Amino acid sequence: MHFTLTEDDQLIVASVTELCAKSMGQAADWDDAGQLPGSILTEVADLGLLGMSTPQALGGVELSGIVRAAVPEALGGGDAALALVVAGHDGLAAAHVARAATPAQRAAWLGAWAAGEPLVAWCEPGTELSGQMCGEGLRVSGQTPVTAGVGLAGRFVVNVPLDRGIASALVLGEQAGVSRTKVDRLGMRAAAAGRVVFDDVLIPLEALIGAPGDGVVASLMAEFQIALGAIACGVGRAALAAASVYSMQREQFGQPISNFQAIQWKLANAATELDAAALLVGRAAWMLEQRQPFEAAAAQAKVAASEAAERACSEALQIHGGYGYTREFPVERHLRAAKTLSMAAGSNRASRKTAAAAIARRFGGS
Amino acid sequence: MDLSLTPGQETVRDAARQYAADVLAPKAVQLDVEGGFPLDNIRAAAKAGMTAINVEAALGGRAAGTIAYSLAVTEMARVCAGTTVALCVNNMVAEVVAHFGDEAQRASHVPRLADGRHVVGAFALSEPGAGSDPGAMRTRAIKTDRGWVINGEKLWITSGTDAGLFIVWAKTNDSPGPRGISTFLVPGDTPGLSRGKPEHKMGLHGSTTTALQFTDCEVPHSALLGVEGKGFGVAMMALDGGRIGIASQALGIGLAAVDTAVQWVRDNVAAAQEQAVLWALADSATELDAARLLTLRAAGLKERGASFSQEASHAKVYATERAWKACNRVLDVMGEAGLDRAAGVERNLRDVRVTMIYEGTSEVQRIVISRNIMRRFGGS
Ligand SMILES: Cc1cc2nc3c(=O)[nH]c(=O)nc-3n(C[C@H](O)[C@H](O)[C@H](O)COP(=O)(O)OP(=O)(O)OC[C@H]3O[C@@H](n4cnc5c(N)ncnc54)[C@H](O)[C@@H]3O)c2cc1C
Repeated sequence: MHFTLTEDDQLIVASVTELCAKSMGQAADWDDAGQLPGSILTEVADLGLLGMSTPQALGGVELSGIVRAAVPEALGGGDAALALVVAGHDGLAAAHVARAATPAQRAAWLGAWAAGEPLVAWCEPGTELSGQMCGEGLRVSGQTPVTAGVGLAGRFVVNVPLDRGIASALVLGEQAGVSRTKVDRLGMRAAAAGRVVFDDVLIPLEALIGAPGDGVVASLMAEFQIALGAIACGVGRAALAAASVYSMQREQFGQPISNFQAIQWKLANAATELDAAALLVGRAAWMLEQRQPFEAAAAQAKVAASEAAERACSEALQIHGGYGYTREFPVERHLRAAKTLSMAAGSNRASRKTAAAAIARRFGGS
Repeated sequence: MDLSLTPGQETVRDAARQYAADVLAPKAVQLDVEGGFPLDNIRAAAKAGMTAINVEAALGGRAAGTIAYSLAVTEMARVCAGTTVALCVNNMVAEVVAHFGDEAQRASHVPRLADGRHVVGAFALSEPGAGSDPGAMRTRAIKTDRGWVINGEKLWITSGTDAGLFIVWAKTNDSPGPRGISTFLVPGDTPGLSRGKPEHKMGLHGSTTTALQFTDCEVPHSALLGVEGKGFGVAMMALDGGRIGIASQALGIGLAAVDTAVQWVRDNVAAAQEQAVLWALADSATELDAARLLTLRAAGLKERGASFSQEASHAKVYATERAWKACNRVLDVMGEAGLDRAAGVERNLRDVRVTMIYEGTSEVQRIVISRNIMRRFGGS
């Protein structure tokens, strides 16, 4: 098990960090507006971040291994909403097509997607969506679960539970009978989360991706836990860095508050928990790369990272005192993002169930 | 130990509950979304008797005591934490003037704080460089023949946009630290006092928080509250009482989150089968109950005239941190459903976070508590 990035990968991560430093000073405004600006999506597309799952032959940059966790972490440190939208577009939608779609579909869609044209939101299967296969395609009614990026995307990959498994399809935002709702959420508001609503919509056969029951959806969702954990690490580490810098500048009682042990220990504890979480995330990414069963490790990483981030952000806010409660400093936004991340993908309750089931399998002898 | 409430305390609690249901509830969500000073809520609070709960009747107060005050704050915060903090500060300002004021100050200001003619009172202690350490304040008041001239800046003043009366702390001599601070009553329309724009905050949008600028702001000699140079003690005493208010506020916010979660679990058959869900509610209920007892103990001591500073700090640090935890647990239980602004609990989470910061951070409470125990058990 080794977590060292190759030189090429280090360059990629450095370029993401640079982008965060250069272009994400406005992230608080995006949060207020409830929308990412198109310009930042162009910038991440230019760095190749919308094509990490897309083969090079089709215009992507095709990355694998632990850099796939290092990128969302770096991006999450700039703006978690952006990192989440990128992970949905690239790690779920494009990855889904790259793995399960026909060569014709891949050729038609993936090149444009790698350029962010259009942005695609990937909707988890949910209980409020029903569908039926018929001769011309898939008829769908109901609504998807709340999904990041719905308010920004031009296309959706929807996953519809059928009796024989999950049917997946690409849906055009402008198709008749398809509409979207917006949900005003606690954090990562710039991700413009919402639901896609279907009023008896016929999705044509050529838009179906893969075959029901091919298992791709489940493995994508398991991998997505790694991305969520990585984003959470980025958020927590950004808050830790902000608090550490602030504590050396802020003086009370005639000295920098970093002199107080209470402040030092908050920082030490947050760093410890975040390092542990990042190692869990790295292990899960490594196991995935090694083609080992990684689902439990991914779930554990997501729980540990989102909860470590939540605590780190809360302590970072506390270290900022009254200033931390205002939107002028980034820590309250990080805190709302961390909490929202622990709710993502079925919440940490679902991740804990995954981990518990894996432990039972491991020690139950069956 | 008799933990039952008197009929008078129950009356105040029920009146607060009624006011919260009738006046605060219909607008709480809108106020969070739009933000701003809740003038209508504050006007109605005066009518409902929520502005001077622990102030003598001769000055227009309700004379209901600190326990009743705590109960009322919890009921109001359960519905709208923003309006409630403005009312907490108003109650505190009224109590401080009633306690430290001379007859003229008491007669001219306290009835106006009670009936709303002052709109609401504000408490101006903190400065950009002086939060946990108010002794480092730089605002100065210079004595002249006509009165006092105040210069300086205050920050994060609750209700700063609309308050009709400010209690302002300023240095009146060069002694270092807390010595040499005096307290002044400054009406909102005093020339030389200007109010900044409301801060853009994580939560508590139903309360405005602003900077204040004092530029050659002149007040008469009669504006001095209490003894010249003894203002730090006034502030500390006020904050001891204020901490009971903030503990009560946090408790109310935590209870609101648990109320929502209980309703949600009732409606979700699958969640209702999970120990992880039910026990999260059990732990929150246990901790909030302990918070309530700590808070009412401090309130009871204050009401009896006993010393209560350490107990107020116990109540504040515990109630605020456990209420924060309760809101977090409720979100964990409800998952995506809890993230939606319409559900209310994400507002509870955003609102409650500040209670660990204002009127003395959690760290400051731990300093107060540890000093007290070391003194009490240290043999000196
Ligand atoms: C919404 C809101 C409303 C407010 N309303 C009012 C109001 O009406 N009137 C008013 O006067 N003020 C008000 N305040 C200000 C509030 O009281 C201060 O923010 C608070 O006292 C903390 O001060 P600070 O923000 O300067 O933090 P700092 O004092 O700079 O503290 C920063 C961090 O250092 C810690 N720290 C400081 N000293 C020590 C130490 N010795 N040991 C260990 N840790 C330490 C703190 O606990 C905190 O975690 C309000 C603040 C907010 C956010």
